[in-house]
Amino acid sequence: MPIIVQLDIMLARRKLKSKDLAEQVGMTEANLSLLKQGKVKGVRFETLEKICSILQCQPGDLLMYEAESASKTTETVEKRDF
Amino acid sequence: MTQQRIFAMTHLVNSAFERHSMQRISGWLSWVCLLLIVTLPIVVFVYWAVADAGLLAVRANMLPWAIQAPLENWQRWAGALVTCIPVGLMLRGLWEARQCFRQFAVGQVFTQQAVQRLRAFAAWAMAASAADMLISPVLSVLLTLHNPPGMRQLAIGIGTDHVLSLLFAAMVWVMAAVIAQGQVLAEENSSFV
Repeated sequence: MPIIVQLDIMLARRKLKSKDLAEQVGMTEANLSLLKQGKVKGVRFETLEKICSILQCQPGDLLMYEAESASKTTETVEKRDF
Repeated sequence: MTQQRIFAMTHLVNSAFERHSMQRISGWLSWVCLLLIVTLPIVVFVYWAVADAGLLAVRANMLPWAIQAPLENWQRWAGALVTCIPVGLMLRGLWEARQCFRQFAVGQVFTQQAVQRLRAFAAWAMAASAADMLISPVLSVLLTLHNPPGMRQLAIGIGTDHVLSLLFAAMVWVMAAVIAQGQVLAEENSSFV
């Protein structure tokens, strides 16, 4: 999926556990885990706002776009080099 | 607090209130269905035991004075049993409706089981209505069996109650389809965090 969720990186930076973040945001740990893995179809602005407020970050710190064709090309080049 | 937030919070409170009301009413309706399932067969037999000939004639789509010979006990018993056919089909439908209301009462609205139960209720209600139309000729023959020769009747009729019952069952079928669409939307919504 082109959208990569970097929530685990921000959690590590802020030294916050997933369980605590889920509790403060008001969502289940299971949903937060799905979000971290990028296995959700979308994120509500309200949820994004709460996460950014708690982690003191910008939405861009949590979400990154990586085109699939570019990532595949990168993988192919890396394999050849190896 | 901005007006948008106030509106959003009011909408949430109203939605929660409506959901709670729906669950409470569904709970009551599930018990009403159970009550009907238990009492309707009794009512049918009591009706056929005590109703006068005029009422029974009208029930069989005949004029009140169509039955010209005293009704024997076996005729009343047989009439009750024949009437139990559409009633039995409706009771089966009411059982499905009860299960559906029980799901609604615990907040499980947009589920595949609820859709299946609603469709089943609609199907059984349609069958009951069709059966009710078909038993009228049987009842008319049964009730006028002891009439003098030339005075026995075979009555066929379709009333507004039959048409409305079929329409109601069709509406429930469509509602089930609408809930099925809602189930798709609910699943889509649940994948958003």
